[in-house]
Amino acid sequence: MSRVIGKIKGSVIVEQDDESVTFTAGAQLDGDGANGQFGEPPCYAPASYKGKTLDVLANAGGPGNWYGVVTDTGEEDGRPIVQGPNDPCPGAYVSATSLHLPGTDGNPLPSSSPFKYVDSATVPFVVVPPMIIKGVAGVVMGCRAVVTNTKNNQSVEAVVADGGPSNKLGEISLACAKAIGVPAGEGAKYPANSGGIDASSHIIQYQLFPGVAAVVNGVTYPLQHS
Amino acid sequence: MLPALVARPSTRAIFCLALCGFASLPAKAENELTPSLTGVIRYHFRERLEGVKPGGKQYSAPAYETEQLPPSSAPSNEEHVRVIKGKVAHLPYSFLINLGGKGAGTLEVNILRADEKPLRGYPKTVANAFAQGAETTSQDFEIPVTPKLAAKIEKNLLEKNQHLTQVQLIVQTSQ
Repeated sequence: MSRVIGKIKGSVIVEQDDESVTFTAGAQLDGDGANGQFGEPPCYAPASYKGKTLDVLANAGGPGNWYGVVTDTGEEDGRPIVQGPNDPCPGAYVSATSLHLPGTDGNPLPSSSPFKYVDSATVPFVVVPPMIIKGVAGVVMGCRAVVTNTKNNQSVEAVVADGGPSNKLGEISLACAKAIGVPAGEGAKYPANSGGIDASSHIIQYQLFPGVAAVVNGVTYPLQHS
Repeated sequence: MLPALVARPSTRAIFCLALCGFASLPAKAENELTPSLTGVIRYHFRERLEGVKPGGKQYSAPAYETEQLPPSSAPSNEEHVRVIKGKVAHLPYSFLINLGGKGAGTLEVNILRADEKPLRGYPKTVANAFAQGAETTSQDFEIPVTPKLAAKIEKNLLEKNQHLTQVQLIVQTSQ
């Protein structure tokens, strides 16, 4: 029998009989995790960086309060890690997702590695609030997700790869937005800062499969206990 | 026969409604050629997540709350101009957004403080802001906030452990 996990601003989160989790919401955009891993722009970079970035640096915070980039101490008052000459976007900051990817040898990557995180620009992913992560028995981070735009019936296989605020529901990567016809800040200076569909619109359907590892574009993602 | 019918009160009302309807048709069709505008304030923030394991991501993905400016209107005799004028609850500013007033397709945004002086960097003007056939249906403008105002917004609008990162005005066209 289906069970209501909770409600966030009018959206009901339901655990279905098959243990999948469903809800409808809008689609805010999350550029986190984009570090140029597959040739697309990074999410954040210092003002001196010459190339394009996906988000305005203010959304990563600032000195003493780095909320959105990896720092040398792992704390917000540390110094941001800057990508080196052998990294995908030398000079850009390293932006993190909650889901961590292993190296090609299967071992954990250091926090400073741009490849440790899921690339918002090229990988369709979903952001979920703590209520879902804590509200089901199966592992949510890294699990399979199907995201559908009910306005045009476009649908995409995605992975749950990032954690959102406790009172927000309905957030996706830029690649996910593009795949289902959600405005992804086309033409804007900072695409992640401009596009999306407001949370109150309820036109995006989300179905998550906790405990089932996502396979997106041939890549199997690790299930990660929170 | 017709004078007799028109003389009846119910028939007179229908006759007048029909006349009014026909008279308003051309004006409505002209207005539909000009896109209507919406103005939305986005309050971007991140939340410090509780119970994160060492080495885990300490803050949430970015997200935002919104406040809507009043709907756009067309000044009389200027069907090709759209204006948004108004305030929102969590900013001490008034907004004046004008599309087409300084030439077809030109968007002018002004943000005024309580003393009616414009905020630093305003007014801003964008030529061909929503050119037909272009992908761009929105323009965004950063709204500077002082640390004191940021603290006030965090207290009055955001939840516990949420930190304001940016305030932004998004102007969108429906066309």
